[in-house]
Amino acid sequence: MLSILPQLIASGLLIGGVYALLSIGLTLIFGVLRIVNFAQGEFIMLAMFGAFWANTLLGIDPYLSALVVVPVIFFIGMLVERYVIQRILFAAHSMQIFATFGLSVLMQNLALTFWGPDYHSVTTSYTSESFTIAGLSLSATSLFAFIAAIVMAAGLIGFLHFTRGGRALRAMVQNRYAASLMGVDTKRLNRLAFGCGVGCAAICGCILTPMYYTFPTVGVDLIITAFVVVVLGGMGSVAGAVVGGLIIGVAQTLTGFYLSVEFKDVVALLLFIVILLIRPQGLFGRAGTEDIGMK
Amino acid sequence: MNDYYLNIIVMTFLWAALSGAWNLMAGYGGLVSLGQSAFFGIGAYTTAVLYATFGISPWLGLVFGVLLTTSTAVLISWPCFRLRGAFFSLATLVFPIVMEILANNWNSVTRGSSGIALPFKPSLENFIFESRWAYVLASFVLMMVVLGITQWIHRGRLGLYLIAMRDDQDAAESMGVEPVRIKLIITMISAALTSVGGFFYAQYILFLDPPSVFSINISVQIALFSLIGGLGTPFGPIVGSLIMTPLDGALSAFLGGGPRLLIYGGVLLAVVLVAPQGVVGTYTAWRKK
Amino acid sequence: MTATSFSPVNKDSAVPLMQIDNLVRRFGGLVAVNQVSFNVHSGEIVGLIGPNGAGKTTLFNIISGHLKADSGRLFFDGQDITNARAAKCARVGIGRTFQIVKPLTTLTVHENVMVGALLNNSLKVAREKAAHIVERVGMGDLMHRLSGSLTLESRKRLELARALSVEPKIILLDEILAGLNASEVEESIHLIRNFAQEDKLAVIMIEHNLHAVMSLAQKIVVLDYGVKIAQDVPEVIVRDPKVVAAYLGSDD
Repeated sequence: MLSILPQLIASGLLIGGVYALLSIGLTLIFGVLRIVNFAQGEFIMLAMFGAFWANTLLGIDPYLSALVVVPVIFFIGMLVERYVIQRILFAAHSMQIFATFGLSVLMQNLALTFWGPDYHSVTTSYTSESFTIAGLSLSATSLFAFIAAIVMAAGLIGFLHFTRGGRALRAMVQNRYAASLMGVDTKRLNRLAFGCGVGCAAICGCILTPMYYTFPTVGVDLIITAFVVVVLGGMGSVAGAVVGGLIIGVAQTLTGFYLSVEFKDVVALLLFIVILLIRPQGLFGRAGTEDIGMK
Repeated sequence: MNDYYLNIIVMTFLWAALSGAWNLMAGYGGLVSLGQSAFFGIGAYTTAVLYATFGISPWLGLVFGVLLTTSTAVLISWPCFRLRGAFFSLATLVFPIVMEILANNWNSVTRGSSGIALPFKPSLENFIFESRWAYVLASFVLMMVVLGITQWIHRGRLGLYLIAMRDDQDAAESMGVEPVRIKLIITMISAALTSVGGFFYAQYILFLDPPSVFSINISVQIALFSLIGGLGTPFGPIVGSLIMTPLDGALSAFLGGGPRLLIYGGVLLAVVLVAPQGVVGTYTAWRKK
Repeated sequence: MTATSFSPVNKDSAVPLMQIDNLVRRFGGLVAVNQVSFNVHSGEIVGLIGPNGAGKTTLFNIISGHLKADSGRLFFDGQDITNARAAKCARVGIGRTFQIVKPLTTLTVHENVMVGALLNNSLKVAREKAAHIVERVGMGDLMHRLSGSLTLESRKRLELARALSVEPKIILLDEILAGLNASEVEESIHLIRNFAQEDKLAVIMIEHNLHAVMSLAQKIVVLDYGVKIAQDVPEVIVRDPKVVAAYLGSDD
């Protein structure tokens, strides 16, 4: 039983990479705009459909379609920020929740109405392929997802720490008011951050397409997991999203094997309750950051 | 008056009551719960299971349902109170999902995904009636009870404490307001009332299955009606339901699931962006000028 | 170490109302409050001064239950209330104002004060008592005005009214005079002195306005970098070289 442990952990880490991918955008948007984007899952869904249509109609590989899908969704994100998010940035919390939640419902049902409720899947040449590395069998799509997650996270962290734009964003995360006093164009950066956040979602969507079903309400499943990862890792922390995702991934794989398959679904939710009880700010969050809207 | 219109009236009152219960938590308490359907479903299932499987009177089922729902509400929301704002709301999204999984898998009790059909044996004892007028009366009473409780809170100590906590929790605490206690109280009241709504639904529709009572759509509708009518006001949910439920009936008939919710999502967004105070709020503000 | 100076007001109360005993609070590597101790007697007005960042508001936050201390004890009215939460502190009789005013904006002036009054009274009585307090602080004509629409001076008065609404034995005033013009300051000093005398309230006031502190306080405690560097009557403090150095060496 124990001999299979390395395989389980490896698979868990890979799926964890996917979870990290889901969560990075969410945590970025929260960090900069202090808003929880309930519609994050729907942007992923949009990208998945984009990749799906590209594949079905034009025969383009999902990963390749990211080149077009991601910028399009980035642009849509900027529009959303301009016409929706910007207007509720300083509104009451309940209104902020309703706005992005309403957006989520709207997007889900737009997809449902125009594209139907059917589950679609995209199979590519490598969908069922797996590599064997060091005696461990790693599915190709998961491996790509994992690598993409690490690359994206590293890129984002690099951007945040080493470029001027990134530093400005970090300044905003720490203290919006001070940042604006120092000449940081918070409005423009808000838009950029939101666009990047949903752009991350888009990348995630394209990567997920070969390994998951594409359907209008796929976002709902995903956002719950993303949320658990963000809470575990710490709101606003990209590194936290990665670590959190890996932990959840491994935890799920291990419980799925050693306990039961039904438990797999529940374990993330259980972990969520446990984190809330013992360390609500998450692994990398600062104490009190779970209280948004405080001074 | 034929059954179709009576049904609309019953549902209008029921949604007003459910929305009103949610309004207590979200409008007054600032706890935007997106998982009310969990409480609704627990109330409905408790009644249905006790009645259909064990032949226990639904009145007892009502009491049990309220007790069960309230204790569950306390258990799951208490750890979540330390999350403020949107994080609390995200957490509440989880509960109906868990409940639905539970209902789907606990076949021995809930009959899983096939659902429970309640035997039609009309009597006061069974809270099942031949005439829809009885249901009209019952749902009206429920709506008025919710209204009454809201008014009582609105004018009293709890209402002031809730608003204080919402406006500035630090300031409220410095004056002796205990946030956790207040949040628990309002959550319990809201959960209990929602559970009663679930009980009513079970005895009225006489059929339920996991998706019909735990669906996120219920939560969306409840929130939307209050928002349209006026969040945080006693009459808001009623106004919202009066406007939307008949409309919803028409929409369902003509459009069906997807487009209907599409419109709901759009309306939700529109209300937030254009008229966040809802009908009642905007009217009150206009009166003051 | 703790030089207690007895002033005429508290000669009959040997046991201090509030005992602050070696409170320590760190934020990461910074020690914001460093072994601070002093006593406050019933009816005594204590000035708490020091340069910006000296830890005065942090100390207030600990005393009023908004922040936990890392070590040390706090005694009030015979009870050990170390690390009690804010609501409990209010209940035992500690009222406070906030440096950055926090009006409950969707409530009227009267309702703001009612919230505190409800702590010890029924709804009906709280309504009356709150109205009375609003009158006493001179805001009677603003009774039903929404607190979100008040001027800064009124908001500060409201802070005071709210601190009084919990029927406290001590009130903590955090820079309640900041941002007020000269005549407003005089009025406020007058008000505070009246309340302290009529209600036999103890007061700890954080203030940068030394003239005000001098005219009100019987005792002054000076903090610098979280440490208590002096405690004495105003006349002595003002000439204490340590105190002068602390202020001159800072941006204040």
